[in-house]
Amino acid sequence: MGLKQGGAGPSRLSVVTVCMNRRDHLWRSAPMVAHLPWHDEHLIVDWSSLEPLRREDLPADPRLRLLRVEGEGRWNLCRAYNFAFARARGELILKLDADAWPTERFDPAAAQLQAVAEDPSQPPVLCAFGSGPEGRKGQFLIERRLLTAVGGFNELLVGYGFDDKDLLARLGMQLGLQPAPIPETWLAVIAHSDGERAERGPGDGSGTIARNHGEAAMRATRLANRLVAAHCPWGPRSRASLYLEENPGRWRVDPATVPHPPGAVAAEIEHACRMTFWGHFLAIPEVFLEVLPYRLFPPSHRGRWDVRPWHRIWWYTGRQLLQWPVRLVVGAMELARGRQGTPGPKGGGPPGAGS
Amino acid sequence: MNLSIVTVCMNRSHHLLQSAPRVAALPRHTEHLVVDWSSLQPLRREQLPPDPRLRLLRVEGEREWNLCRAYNFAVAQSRGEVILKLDADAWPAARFDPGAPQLEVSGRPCAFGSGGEGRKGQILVARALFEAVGGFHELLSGYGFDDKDLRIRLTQLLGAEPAWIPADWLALISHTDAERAGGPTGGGALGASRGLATMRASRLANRLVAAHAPWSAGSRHSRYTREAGGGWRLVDGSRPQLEAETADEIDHARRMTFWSCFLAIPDIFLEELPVKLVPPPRASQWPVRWWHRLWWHSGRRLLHGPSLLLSLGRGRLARSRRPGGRPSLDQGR
Repeated sequence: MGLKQGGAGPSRLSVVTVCMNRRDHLWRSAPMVAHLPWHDEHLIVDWSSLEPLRREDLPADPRLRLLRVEGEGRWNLCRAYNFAFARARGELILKLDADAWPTERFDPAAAQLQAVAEDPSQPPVLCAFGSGPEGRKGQFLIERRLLTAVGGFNELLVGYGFDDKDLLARLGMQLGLQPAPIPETWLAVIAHSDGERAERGPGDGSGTIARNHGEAAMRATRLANRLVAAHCPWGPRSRASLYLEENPGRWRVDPATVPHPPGAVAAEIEHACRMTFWGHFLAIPEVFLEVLPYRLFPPSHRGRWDVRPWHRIWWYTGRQLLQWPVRLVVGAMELARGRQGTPGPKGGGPPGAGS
Repeated sequence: MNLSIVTVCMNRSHHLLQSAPRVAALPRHTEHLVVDWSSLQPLRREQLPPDPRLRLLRVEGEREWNLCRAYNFAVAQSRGEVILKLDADAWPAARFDPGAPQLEVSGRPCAFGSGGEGRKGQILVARALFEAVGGFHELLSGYGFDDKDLRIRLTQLLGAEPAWIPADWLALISHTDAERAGGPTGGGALGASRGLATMRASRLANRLVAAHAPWSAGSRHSRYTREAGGGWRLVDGSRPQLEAETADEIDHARRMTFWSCFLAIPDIFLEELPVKLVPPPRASQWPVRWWHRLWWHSGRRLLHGPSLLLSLGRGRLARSRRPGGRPSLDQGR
């Protein structure tokens, strides 16, 4: 089997999926992928799921190949997919999260999936990113050589957000490519919350305080990843993590090769994260947080924020109290507008969330 | 060595009149290119030293300071193979040796100033290297991250960190960060708070710009055309722009950072307030109104009380702080 692409000859296509503790998603998506006729390989990487994925639980499609990376304590999309890309055999890569699959309309050979190049004399290249809601933007079809040319994902990014935007920005900057959009109806995605995407565990509780905690954690990682990308841009010469095959199909990272931001940058990012998380969760302005004891508002540990009883007490008391004057102002302005018959107030909320 | 010193100046003639004679006294450069970036009172050649190596150009029609675009223009107009980017408030000390091997990386000059007082913004670089990374990032504006961004891209290109120019090789006129940031100076504690907020907003915004829209030699640069009077002017539509979605995100972050820092209102509450109460900047100036001042002197001070009280226990409670103290965007540009 081989994908005819632009008349340039057959190119093998690898669908690449990495999964950590999302077995239920994969059980739904993998059979859908197995029904597709046009790929040569579906490489699934089990990123240290607590309950290892078993080959017999997945479709019997001979194109499906399962590898496992051991010893990873935390989801890391960038490192995980770079590992998977390096093991895939196709010249074309379809990066597909465990909660996504191509619909019947998906045509990997469609000319509309060719990127727009700044230099019109460049031959057409296949490079397209998902469009639409529900995490579709994180799915992409790309020629492997393009991924190699930009060094794949930025392995210094962690947590949720900016991984795909960073890759897009580098494809534009380093290769002068503007990827095409994959039509929304060409991809199906299992709906789930941003909180779930951001790895919030069951211990994070529920209700408004839990939602607020989740939002604060997401804002912190989104900002952190943007700062990392600004300070430590990724490229083909960046040192990516190396893995050793312990047993056939079972790999483990060489910890010494995992890249980290330099000390001063890491410190700046930790500070920005800490300010963002606690500032958002407890509604304490950064200028005050900075002078408060560090120990009361500690940084996250491996992506988890240590919310103590006194934080919860403040959340239920002081934070609510501080919100009243804001509600009063907003309410008064709404009332004034209503009397004048003008349209409703335009709040200054953040622009479309995205990653 | 064919060395061009390039200096761009906007309404800082008082600095330039101090620094230019000191540059003129130096023997090693072949050109000192001074660019007047639309100063309200145009620089006149006769104000500057009669050194024949000094060349004065003027860019017309620029309403605000933009270091990156200004220096990219200046470098493009200069003639030397090696560039010394020198702000109007800086000059090389007698010890400065542009040919010193310690200022080279892989056999080519590439060194950034070290030390305080804006020295980090002075750069010695081979023209070929500067051009290979696309020069300064023209989407950055305001204050901060321009030099770091250039340094990061040079590091990527060279595969090694640029060198440092020793602190005592450069002299600088001392002035405040608020003055550097281009905001109004003075105004006591409120003015300082406003200056800090302006700088933080600009620093964060520039980091976000660099993340969303990394710069390179292939990026579209501003173009300028020479006018009949001898001055230069930006070609309409040639200035690079951020994509609308990215610009919205960054404008939002800038607005939240400024008002959150200045008024000490957390951004989660600011987001609920109508934009007209906490508006974006106009012509790079933040519109601080009487009600902002009233809040700053009343509500903000009131809220500051409890945090001041808690901060008294900081020494005792801060035992688990990371060594080296609290890092902050304020410590660097």
